[in-house]
Amino acid sequence: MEIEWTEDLETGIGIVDDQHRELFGRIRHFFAAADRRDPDVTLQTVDYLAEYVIEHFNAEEAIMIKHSYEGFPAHRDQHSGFIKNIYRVKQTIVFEGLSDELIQKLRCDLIDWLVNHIQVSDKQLADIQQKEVSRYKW
Amino acid sequence: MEIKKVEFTEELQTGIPFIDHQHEQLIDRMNMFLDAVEAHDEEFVEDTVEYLLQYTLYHFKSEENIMLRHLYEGFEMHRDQHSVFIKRMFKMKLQIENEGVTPEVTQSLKDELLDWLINHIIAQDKKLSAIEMEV
Repeated sequence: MEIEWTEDLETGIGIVDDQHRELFGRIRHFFAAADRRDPDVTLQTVDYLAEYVIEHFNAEEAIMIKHSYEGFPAHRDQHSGFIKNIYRVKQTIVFEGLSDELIQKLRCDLIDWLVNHIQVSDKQLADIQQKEVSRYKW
Repeated sequence: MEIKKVEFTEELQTGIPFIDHQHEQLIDRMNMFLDAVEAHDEEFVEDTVEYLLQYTLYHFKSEENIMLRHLYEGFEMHRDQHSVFIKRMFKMKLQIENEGVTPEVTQSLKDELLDWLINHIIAQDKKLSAIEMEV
């Protein structure tokens, strides 16, 4: 299963869509390294992915907070779940190494989750744009 | 009701320079928010709660980054604590927008935000110095 960017993943919020595309790129990077079964390089790509996941989720949460988006708490919880998953992935690679089963599981866990999250949760963020603009000016 | 301002004392220092710097910033913004509450200036209150919220989010992210990078054992629990706090602060923001600064909001500010933050720094953030020592 490859991770491909498709139009139905667009939220309409420029910065969010740009960051999603970058995220997909970093996930591809991770799987390319994992396929070569080099634990050290793979761990570097996990870190590269993890730090961007944190930045990106933070950017989305900042937008949600700024606009008093009521879905923020639930959305934050979803982000937490994924971040913890990445943490556990890193732990597994460090302590148990890479295996075919792990990589296969990750293709589903990471890619499926992200695509679904974007289509279901992040797309709702487009509603923020349409509501009355917050009076907080940045 | 008067709320005592928070002072960035030695007790609150983690020994990790960038974290201590951010904690100091956070406490400054908390105190600014307190000033706004005491002045009963609604617009100032709304502006400072936003300013505080955004900085808290940024600060928590910075801590989580190093915890994740170093596979810090307490990461998941620490992340959960951050989430509890951010959600509480967000709820307070919504309350202020809908109801203004009520006595209930002021009490929550003291109990749920200020006290929580101080305890969190002392009980959780200080443990992060263990990460720096390993590096």
